Amino acid sequence: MTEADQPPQLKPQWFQILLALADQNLHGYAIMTEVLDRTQGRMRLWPGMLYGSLKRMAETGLIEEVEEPSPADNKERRYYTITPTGRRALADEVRRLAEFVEVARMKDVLRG
Amino acid sequence: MGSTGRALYRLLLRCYPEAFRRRYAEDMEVVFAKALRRERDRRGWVGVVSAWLGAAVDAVARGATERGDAARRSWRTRRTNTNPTLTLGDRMTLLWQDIRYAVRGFIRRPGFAVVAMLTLAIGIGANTAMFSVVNGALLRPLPYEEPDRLALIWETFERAGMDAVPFSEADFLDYRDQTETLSHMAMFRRLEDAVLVGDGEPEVLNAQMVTPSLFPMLGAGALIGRVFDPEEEEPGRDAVALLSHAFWQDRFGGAGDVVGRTINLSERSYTVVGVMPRDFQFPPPVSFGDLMISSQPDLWVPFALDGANADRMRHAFFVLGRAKDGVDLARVDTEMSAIAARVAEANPQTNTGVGARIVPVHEQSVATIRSALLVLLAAVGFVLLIACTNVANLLLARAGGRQREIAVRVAVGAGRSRLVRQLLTESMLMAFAGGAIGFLFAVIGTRALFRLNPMDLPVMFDTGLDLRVLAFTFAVTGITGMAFGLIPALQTTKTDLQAGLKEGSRSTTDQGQLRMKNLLIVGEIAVALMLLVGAGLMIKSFDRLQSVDPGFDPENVLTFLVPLSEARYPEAEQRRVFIDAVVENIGGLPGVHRVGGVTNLPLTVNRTGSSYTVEGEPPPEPGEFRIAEFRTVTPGYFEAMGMPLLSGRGFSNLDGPDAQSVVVINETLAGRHWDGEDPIGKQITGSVNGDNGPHTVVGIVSDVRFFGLDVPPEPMIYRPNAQASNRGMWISVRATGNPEALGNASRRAVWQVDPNVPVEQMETMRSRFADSIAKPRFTAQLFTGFGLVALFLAALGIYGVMSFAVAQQTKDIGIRMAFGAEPGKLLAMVLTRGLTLAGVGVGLGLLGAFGATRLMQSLLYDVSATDPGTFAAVGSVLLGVAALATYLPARRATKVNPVDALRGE
Repeated sequence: MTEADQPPQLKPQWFQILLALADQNLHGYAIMTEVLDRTQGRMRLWPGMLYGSLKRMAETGLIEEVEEPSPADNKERRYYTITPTGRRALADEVRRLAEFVEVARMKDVLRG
Repeated sequence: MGSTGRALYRLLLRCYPEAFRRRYAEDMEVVFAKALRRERDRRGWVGVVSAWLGAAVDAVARGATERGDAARRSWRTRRTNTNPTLTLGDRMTLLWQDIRYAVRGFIRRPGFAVVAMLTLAIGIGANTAMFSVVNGALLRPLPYEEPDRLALIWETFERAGMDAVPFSEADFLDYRDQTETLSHMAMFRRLEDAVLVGDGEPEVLNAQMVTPSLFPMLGAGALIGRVFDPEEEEPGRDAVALLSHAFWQDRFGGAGDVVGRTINLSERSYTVVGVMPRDFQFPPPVSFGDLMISSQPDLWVPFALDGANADRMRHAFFVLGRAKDGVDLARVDTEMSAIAARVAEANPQTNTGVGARIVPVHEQSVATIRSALLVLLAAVGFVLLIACTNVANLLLARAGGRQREIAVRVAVGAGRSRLVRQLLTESMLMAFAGGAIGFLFAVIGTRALFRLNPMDLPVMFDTGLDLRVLAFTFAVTGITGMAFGLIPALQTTKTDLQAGLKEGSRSTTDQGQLRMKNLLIVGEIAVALMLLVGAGLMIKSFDRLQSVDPGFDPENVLTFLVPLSEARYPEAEQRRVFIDAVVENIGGLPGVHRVGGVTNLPLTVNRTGSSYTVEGEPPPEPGEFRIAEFRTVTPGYFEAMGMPLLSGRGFSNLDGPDAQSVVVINETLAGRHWDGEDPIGKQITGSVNGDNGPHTVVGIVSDVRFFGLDVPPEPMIYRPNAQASNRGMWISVRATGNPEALGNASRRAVWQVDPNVPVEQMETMRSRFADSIAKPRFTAQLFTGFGLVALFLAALGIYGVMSFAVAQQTKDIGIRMAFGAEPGKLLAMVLTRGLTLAGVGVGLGLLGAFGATRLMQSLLYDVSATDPGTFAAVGSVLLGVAALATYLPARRATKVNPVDALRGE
């Protein structure tokens, strides 16, 4: 595999957003809280960052906006869903990270 | 989130581009509100503050990113939209198309193109010519090594207010010993007795005495042979000479073996040691203050410095210094003052109150012409501005006729930017054609200017049109093209398609154009007025200067110099006898009314001043210089010059060597010491040659403007030739008829006494008088020329705009006439309109002139830069011209035939 063929590394916040959307369609705030909780508060997606990323990811084709019928009390109607391309990119990234984890395990990093 | 919080967050949201906001703002607000609540619940007020801080940072940082992104995108889209596939080649093709199109347009209407190009050519040409003079005189460095480290050093007589006194020899030696900031110091002065005696008529050469260090200081070497050795400044070893290239060619035919030959100057022979290169000139042919007029020297000889006998009182020498590497001139200046203080302490009798200061050599050489040149450059810039305005007006007028063409082009899909580019190509093409013609004008004009050289411009600055001038012309042309092209181009393309295509319709664009034209014309009048006020002030100043009473009558007087060398005429008595014989010979010539001799003629700039004391007044304290100019004259001098005797008597042959020592003083001196009293019979001491008197005052003569018409008269003491010395004299001959007819006879009369004495600088007093005011005259003439061009262009502009307005209103006027309006009223209507424009322009121009002419004050003699008379006169002249330029179109309006006007629709 030449370098050019390698999938581009995903930005950390893109990776986290894709991960959040992997099993469900979410609206913006839900994505934010999920990422925040999963990273134990280390990655906080402020609104600008959040929607800037969502916009660009949609343009790249990793995710799509979907209109979901929502309960009356929820004003937010714009949901996001992961596309097949996004799923592939997520899988590539997970595989890449897994390789690193494998290497680290072989080097006994965790025991030290 | 309360309403305040929401408002605040919306404010933050303004960081994002609008498109982004439209799409996400609502969602972002909701997300932030929830996040804020969550933070407050978990961390209290700390959470709230950190959430707001985070949101602010987020908004600013992401907002900038999104905006950058949006801008990039829109640029990319626009580029791809307008010119989907434009390569460089395509662009060149388009440009070529535009150029061909423009040229075809010019050919179709050649009159318009020619007028526009010539107008521009005049403007650009005048600017180029003026700039090349400024470039040569002010910008180009002197042709010496590192000229910016060179400075002239002057002594100063602080209490007498004299700030540029030449050095004395002894002071020079002290300074040279003590300086630590200068690497070289050289002294120079013209050699007075440089009469070349040979086969032909005797001739005075321009020989400069220089200390040998001059050549290494300037970084100059000899073309043939060598420059002076340092020892050659010692007395006895100084009989050597360096020739100028021109003199070597003229006198020695460029002989290669010239080194070692001898040359005889006033009975002293010098051995030639070398020849300087063709481009070497020293002193630079510029006037160093009014103390030294230099022309091209023929040769240089060493300055013999006699340390032991050096004089401290004779301030007659120019000193040049070079700052050491890394020493700036300010430090040199400080050091010179410090040395002056030390020298004064050591020599209190002679040097109390004597200071020193430096003037960078370039500054000194341009000091007298800088302000005149810069003011003229500004004036000529104004002319170009007016030319641009006129061409812009022409273009606007033509644009009116092109609306259909433009509308057609828009209809078939030409974008506005494409049209603007097309129109700008036209104006640029016109500008560059004008620029090329203008450059030709400039080449011719500059040559003419320098042949006349009325400003005493430093001719050494060869004012060829160099790259800098070319770049200047190019830049001016480019700016000009934009200046007159852009407004009409934008104005024209704002066209209304529908209206444009309809035949004969009057669109709103016409109104816009008229407004623009009005604006241009107001500006043009204002600029023209400023220029004319400048010209008016110069004329008035020159008139004042010209009508200054010089104190003598310059008509019918021939003057020339008869120098007597120390070597040939060592004794004062011999010189006296010689002069008396010459005066007597000339006095006997037919056609001579009176003849007299004087040691320094008025309006030549040589000074021979010395201190004096007056009977009954205490002598001046050391450092307080009371100085009068001393002149030695023959008995007929006052009459020959037409100087009226105000009191007492003039000199006669009875004032001989053994008679009572007498003097005649001028009005200024009499007024200074004997205000209201009669000075006749009072005693004065002092002289320039050691014979200090006392002398008895026997008469008072009129003040003479010795040093120029604009220099106030100074105290003056005249002594009779029989009682004082001379080193040759200026002879002035008052003729009964044409003085020039006496030239040859006068020469022969001198050579009858001694054929080896040269006759120099023969000129009528009238022409010396004219020369002395040549510079202000030329400045005034040039300014007037610019002013008249401006006036003419402005008149054309007003005429054009008013014609345009009348033509546009033809229908209007027709209707009014059909309803019985009187022609007189219509005339008044149009006139009022034109004069309103002119009035606004004149008002603005007067304000502008009020501010701008202050910069000219130093060029004006006896006229205030805000002289109300000039302002009023120029304002009314301009209004008058404007009225005339409006009257013609206005009359045409009254001739409108209502039927024709209405049918024209």
